[in-house]
Amino acid sequence: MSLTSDQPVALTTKPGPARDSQPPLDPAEARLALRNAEQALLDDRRLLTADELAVLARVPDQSVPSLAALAHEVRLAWCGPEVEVEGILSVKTGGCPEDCHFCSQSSAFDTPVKATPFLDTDEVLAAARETAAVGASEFCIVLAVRGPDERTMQRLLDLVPIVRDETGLNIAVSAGILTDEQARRLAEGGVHRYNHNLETARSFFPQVVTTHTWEERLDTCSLVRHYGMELCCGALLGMGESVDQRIELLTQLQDLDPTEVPVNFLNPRPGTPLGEAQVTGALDAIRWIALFRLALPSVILRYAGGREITLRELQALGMTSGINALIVGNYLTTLGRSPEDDLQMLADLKMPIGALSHVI
Amino acid sequence: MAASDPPPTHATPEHCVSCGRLTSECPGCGRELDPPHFCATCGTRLAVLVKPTGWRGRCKVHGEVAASDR
Ligand code: SF4
Ligand SMILES: [Zn+2]
Ligand SMILES: [Zn+2]
Repeated sequence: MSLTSDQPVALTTKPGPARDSQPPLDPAEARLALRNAEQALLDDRRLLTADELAVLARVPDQSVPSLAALAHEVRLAWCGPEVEVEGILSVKTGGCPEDCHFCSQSSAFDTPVKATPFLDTDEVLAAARETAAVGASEFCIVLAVRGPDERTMQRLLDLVPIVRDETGLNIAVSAGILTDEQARRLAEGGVHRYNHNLETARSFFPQVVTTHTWEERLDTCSLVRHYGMELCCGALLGMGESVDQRIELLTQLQDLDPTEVPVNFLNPRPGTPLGEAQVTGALDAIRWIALFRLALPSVILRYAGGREITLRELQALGMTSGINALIVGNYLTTLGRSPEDDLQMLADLKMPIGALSHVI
Repeated sequence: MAASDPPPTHATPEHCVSCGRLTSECPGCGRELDPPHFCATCGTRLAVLVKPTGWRGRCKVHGEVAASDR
């Protein structure tokens, strides 16, 4: 690709706003694109094509509220008004052998995060009970590993039914790349949903991860679906990927058809190769939340990491731009805003809390 | 804080809790929404447990040195 001198040069270590290969639409073109998308999604009830998404990605900034309003209507029409609330817990933190350039838990980088072993069952249970007490229906047990070894599998298979039965929560797990047999055992062991993010487009992935491939991630996602677990497959925006690559990721997610897509925005982590990256702008974040909903109308689209620093006081706007789920409270190694603030936001928006599953 | 935990230290913090350097070298480099990662007293990296509804940081020398229930 050639870059002219007035374009920002996107280095992996210091990405700015997503590069676009084409100029924004003019207002009339934007209105037409929005009308066409409305017709497709609300009247014809069909998915948008990559070309249609690429046009919508180019609406000018002043049309982003209209894009968001359409995404909200699409979410209500395809998913209903409920919002799913989830808590996540890192039960084995840091020391991961993989080199995901955004991650403070990789042992490849000198970050402040200290590696800690698998938490005791009592600690996991206490965290799950506290999560249930704030109204969550889903609890995700997360491990910083390439994939689970046999000891980890045994711990997970012990833990999942205990936490589920003690709290009534649906239990999700995120433990990296799985073998066929591991996927089957986790499904049989009561794992309701398995998280494995594609993170970014296939064409951009090698720039941010070198220790495993995008295809390996896709294989695990396919195994999760094959064995009947719900697939949670998220994205991380703001790593230096282009607009075209974001569209590419959306079409790859359309093909994969996950139950849930958590949308993360890069929160630059000290000591990682992306540690000094620019944070995604708030309006850009709203634009892409809306585009995710328009590309994936039936999915559970979850607010995940980075929303606090990216959106700041616009967090309620995301809820009316296509989001219908959120991670409540803190994240794996970083803090979120208080659960009370999120619950108040949902009450103010008159959005009921409920468990969701794939709706078509 | 549980009764069995060591008494809190009242010494002036000597280390930045975000990078562990002496406060004379780093007056504070913490980013928004990061828990402390180093002991303010001795600069040792903390084992940090982050839960949806709270967090705590434990120093192998000084025990639990920082915690919050949110
Ligand atoms: S595999 Fe997960 S925990 Fe490991 S470095 Fe990548 S993102 Fe971090
Ligand atoms: Zn510092
Ligand atoms: Zn100490």
